[in-house]
Amino acid sequence: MSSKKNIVIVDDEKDILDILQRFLSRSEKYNIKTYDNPITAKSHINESIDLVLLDVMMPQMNGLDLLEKIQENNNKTKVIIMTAYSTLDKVLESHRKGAVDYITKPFGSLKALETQIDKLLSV
Amino acid sequence: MQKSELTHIDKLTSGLAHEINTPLTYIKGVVEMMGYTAEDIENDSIRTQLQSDMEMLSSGMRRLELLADSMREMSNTSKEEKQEINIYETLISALKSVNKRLEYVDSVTVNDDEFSVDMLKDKYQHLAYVHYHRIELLWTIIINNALDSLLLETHEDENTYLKIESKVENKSVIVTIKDNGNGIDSDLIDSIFEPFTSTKDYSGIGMGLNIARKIVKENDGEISAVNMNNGVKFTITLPSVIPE
Repeated sequence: MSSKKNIVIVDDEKDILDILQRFLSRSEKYNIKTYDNPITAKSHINESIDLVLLDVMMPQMNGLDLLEKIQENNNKTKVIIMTAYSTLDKVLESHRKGAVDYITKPFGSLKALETQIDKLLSV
Repeated sequence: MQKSELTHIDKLTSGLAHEINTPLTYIKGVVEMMGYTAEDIENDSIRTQLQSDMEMLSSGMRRLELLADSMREMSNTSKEEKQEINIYETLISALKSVNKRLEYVDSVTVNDDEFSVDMLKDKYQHLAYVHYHRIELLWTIIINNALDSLLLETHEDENTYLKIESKVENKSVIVTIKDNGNGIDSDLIDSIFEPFTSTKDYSGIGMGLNIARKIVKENDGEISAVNMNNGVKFTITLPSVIPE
């Protein structure tokens, strides 16, 4: 069995999924799966997933609703919310619903995001 | 204007900001990845050329990002909570966020200390009860505004400076930001805080200083600008909190 950590990325923008997957795969520390539809993603997120990077504004389902569902199903998976909207209300709401962190798009840098993930998953 | 029209404009503006930020997220990511790939290129001249091209891309992206930030700020109806903030600290943070551009200015000082990225943020305690993120954005706007004129090619042979001072006086935190980048056209100086007034021939849609004024007003402060010594001086006054 692989000791790599499992990361799921959910965003309706395929190009964002692509660049995140390419960047985070470079170090070979993570198994990465991406979904552009949160409803499909939902059925694949279980206790084996260490971290979910989750967009908020998606046409099929709001990321914060998916966050709630993930929390109901298991308490092992950590969630980082990512969104182009940074209002304090959203930050507070995502923390209340159990997100461990909150990042805004455009990301400061991919490297900083990776460091943040490494820390969170103690890699 | 009718209130409903304003709501529509707010929605349009925040929608546009979102539409700018989304592609910007992967463009920025791709450029960063290209930078790491470029490091491995052995041919010096190709590598250097690519790195300088990417620097240019980054500066364009920074402008778009700031534009989207400003648009979001313009339409922002959410209420960031005010808190007790060290204004000196927010000035240092804002300077750090534009650090790359500051390298082209001959002298950048805060209360007469030469700015550096590892500068302590708590050397002074100038407390005010304000919106943290907005105040940081306020400094970023004014500093970038100064840099836009300081970094023009016409100033290449001059001793350019950006001089920031922060102090507490008469129950206020007073911040002044001075540069020697030629100042503002005297026809425009009275209207620079109005929306869509741009002082720049080459760029800008003239929203920055309007947002700046909006942020200052929301925080019960005052902002003014005057031309002096070949440059412009902004003065921002915010109500201070006296430490107990």
